[in-house]
Amino acid sequence: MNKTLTILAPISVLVFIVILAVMYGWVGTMDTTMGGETPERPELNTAANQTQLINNPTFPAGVGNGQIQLINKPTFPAGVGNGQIQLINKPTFPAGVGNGQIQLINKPTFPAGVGNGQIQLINQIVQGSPYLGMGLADVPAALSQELNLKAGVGVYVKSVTVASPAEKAGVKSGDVILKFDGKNAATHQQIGEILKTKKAGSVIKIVINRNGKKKSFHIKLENAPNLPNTAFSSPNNSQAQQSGRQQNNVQAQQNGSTQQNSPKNPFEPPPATSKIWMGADIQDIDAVMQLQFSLPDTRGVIVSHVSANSPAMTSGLETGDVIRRFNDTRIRDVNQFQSLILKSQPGNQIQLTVLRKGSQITLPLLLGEQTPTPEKPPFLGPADIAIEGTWIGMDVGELTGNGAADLGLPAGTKGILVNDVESPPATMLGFTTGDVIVAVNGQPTPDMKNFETATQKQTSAVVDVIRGNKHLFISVPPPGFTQQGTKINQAIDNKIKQVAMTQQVPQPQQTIQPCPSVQTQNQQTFQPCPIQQPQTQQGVQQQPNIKSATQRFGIFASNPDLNSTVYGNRFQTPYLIMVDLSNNSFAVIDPSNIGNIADTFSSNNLSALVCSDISQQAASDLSAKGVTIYAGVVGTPNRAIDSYQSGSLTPVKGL
Amino acid sequence: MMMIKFFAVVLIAVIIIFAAFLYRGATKLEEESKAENKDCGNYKEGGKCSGKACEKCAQRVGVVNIIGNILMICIKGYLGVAGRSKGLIADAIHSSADLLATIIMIIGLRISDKEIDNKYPYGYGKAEYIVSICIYLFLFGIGSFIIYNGVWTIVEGRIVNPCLSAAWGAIFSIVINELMFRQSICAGKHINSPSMQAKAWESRSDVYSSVAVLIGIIGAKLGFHWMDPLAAVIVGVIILKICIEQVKDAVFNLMDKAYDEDYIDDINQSLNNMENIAGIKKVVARELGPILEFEINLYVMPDTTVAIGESIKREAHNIIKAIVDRKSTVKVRLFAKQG
Repeated sequence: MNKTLTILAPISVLVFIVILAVMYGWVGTMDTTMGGETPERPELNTAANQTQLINNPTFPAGVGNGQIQLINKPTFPAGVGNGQIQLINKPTFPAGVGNGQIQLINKPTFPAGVGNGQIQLINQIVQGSPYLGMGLADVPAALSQELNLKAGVGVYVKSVTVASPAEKAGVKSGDVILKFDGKNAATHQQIGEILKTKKAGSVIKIVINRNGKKKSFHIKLENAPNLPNTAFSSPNNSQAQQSGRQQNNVQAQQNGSTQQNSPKNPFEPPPATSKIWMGADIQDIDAVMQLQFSLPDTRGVIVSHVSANSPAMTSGLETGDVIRRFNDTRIRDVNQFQSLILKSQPGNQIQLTVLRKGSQITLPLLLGEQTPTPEKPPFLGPADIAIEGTWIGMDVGELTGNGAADLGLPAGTKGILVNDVESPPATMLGFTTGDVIVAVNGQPTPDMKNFETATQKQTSAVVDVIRGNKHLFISVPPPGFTQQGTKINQAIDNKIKQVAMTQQVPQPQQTIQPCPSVQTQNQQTFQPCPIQQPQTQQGVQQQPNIKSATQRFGIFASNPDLNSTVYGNRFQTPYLIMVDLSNNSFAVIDPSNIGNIADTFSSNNLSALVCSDISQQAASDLSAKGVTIYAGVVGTPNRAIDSYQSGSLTPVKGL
Repeated sequence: MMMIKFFAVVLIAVIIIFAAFLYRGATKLEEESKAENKDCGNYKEGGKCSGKACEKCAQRVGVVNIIGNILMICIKGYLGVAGRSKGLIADAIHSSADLLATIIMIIGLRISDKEIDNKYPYGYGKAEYIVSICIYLFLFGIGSFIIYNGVWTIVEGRIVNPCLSAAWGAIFSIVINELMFRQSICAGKHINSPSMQAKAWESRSDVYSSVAVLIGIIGAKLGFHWMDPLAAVIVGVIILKICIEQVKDAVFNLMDKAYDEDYIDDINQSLNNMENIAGIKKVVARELGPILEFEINLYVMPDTTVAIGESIKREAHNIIKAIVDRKSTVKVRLFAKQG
């Protein structure tokens, strides 16, 4: 033994040295290949391999001119310019409400006291079989391709219930189950069948694929937590998929009361074993909320409601706060926050780092213990609905006093009751019948009149909903976009073709140049030309309401084509796309060739600039030359041209 | 990132496994030096022993050194890889070289413990040097690679952007090494052991190399990305220096280089004072691993009896033991003085 060790000792050190030397060789090249993944992070043990943010926090908000607030890069078409939001696309809500131009009044600050709640329903249980605690679905095609899975292999783990057998075993959401109890898993129904043959207490082995690596876990099955006559629900029914948003949100509050008050919903969470009470409801942040609350990114969790006389209220937590850190731990999402809370004990003092109105503050919070309060299940008769309307695919009506009482809401609660959820997008967004809309973008909606004014002007909105006596934020993305700000469909085609530049030096006067006419519509050059009258015989149909829109204008863009992104010049050097609507042509000037923007504009006779943001200097130079500036515009130049033509953009004033 | 973590965990596990062995080896080393050296430091003027506390402290030096070095290798290696600092990784390799020196010493002790057999009638004392040469030639290669790669990194202008945790590794190394230096130098002075003091100064040189690494990391953080590889190159040079010294030592000992002259002079003087001898013909010594082998050739009067001769031999043994504070063997030959 000693002899072995005598040899082993120096050899291990030598092996160690060799490995260190290999690592040594890697360092330095790693920065180029791995791209500075964690160069600034002192904590080394962050679980970087976990699937974190579904939505990339690529929504840097910049403030232009002290007033222009916008979202630069992403494909999110709303920007706030000059205290307004200008949407480039024409919204097409099925209900017909909310068409036309969108101007949001400033940044909404949510009224104090109007909070939100959220009922978390992750748990999907197959009736009559042991409890697993996983939400299952078919493997998304993209993931299947990424993991090189064969068709028909694997079941996707959509969600894992906290403290469930699956979680205890180590299964995480995002895993793909390959084998279940030794059998190949192809569909979730199969797993359900296998489960039915098992009893609580038996141990099954599952093999999963996580990020391309195979892992196996042993799950000890348990009896399902007592379910208040939950209807059988297929783990993969359409409702489950469509209300995916609800499954992403977990309530931090582990009180028994909230879990009893939604018998309508089949996805009932297991009764809380812990009585830790914080008294605040939290939600994940999506792109729409980020826009409405002017957040720099979507990290952290947003406080949607603070209960009265709760520890959270005592600590000073407010609705709309974004919790970024919990005792120095960065908060990624609600699941993580909840697990952190559950690890604490009542009476523990915790530190919450909170982002409020752009500044970070730290709040000490003393966790309390929950005293459950029974609540009545909401019920509502149709007779209680007085004035009706429709919005984004829902039948809505004014909530009457009786209705409020039936829903178990405090007397005097006013809002708009969702009477029926009929079609997308409402069905996709997680609205359910019985929701009471109390505010839209911070504007209270006590009656239909207010509701209509609040909803008419918007495409994207954060809707404050009371469901089961809890407040809940539901984001309504603009048409064509998901709640995460992802684009659904592609840009429109303006039939505008690119032409070559002939001039970009300042011309003495424009009158010398021939102007594009019917004859020159096929010209292949972009020539300086005086302002033209709208030509209706051309392909571009001028809107009759066009007033200030002139024929030639410039757009700042990320790339020299019309399907790129409208840019600003404060954070990046944009391409200048010059559009001549009179003959449907555009030309591009490289960032390096723009030079003095004001001179370029006057030499090319451009009368307006469409951009996402603009520097103070350029803005004052341009307005001195009489150029109208449309800032806060986001989206593709194509859409920008469309909106410009329709006259739906609002110029920046007061420069 | 996953791979780095995996490596770190495996390596730390391996190191911990034989840390136990090293600890045992170290205690054995201490026991033996204790057995050899019952009264503290009687070399030269008799030393200034300041009681049992210092002696105990001195006994712990070896163990502290080994554990300290293992700790530093693990932490510096891990932080160096995770924090992506070339300098810190090189420093970890440097510490490994120090640890290797200690391990080789322990191995030497073990090998020389082996009973003399017919095949090797002079014992296994020199095996240690062969092991040492092999290992340090290998380390020499590693050191060259560190320098080569570091220089190349600077020349190519690759960006090495270490994370601040690497700086913590360097600070940790500085602190531990300085503490080890303080302990060793104090104990070494008090029990008057030059070898212990020499070891102490090795720890000090480790401090300097870690300081260089720290400066490199901070420099890289400030935007001078070539500073971290530069620190690595400096550490590489130090490693090469260690290797050259050790190989040189081993080769000299293999070649039976004459032992330190001061010792020989002292011995000569003491031997001269002995009774019954007519003169000193030759006193030579060579190192056989941890053992010092003396060969003493003395002149005696031709009429000396064998009994007197034996007593001379015993006395010579005692003199050597009194002077030399190491495990030693003494061979005494008596020659009749002519004329």
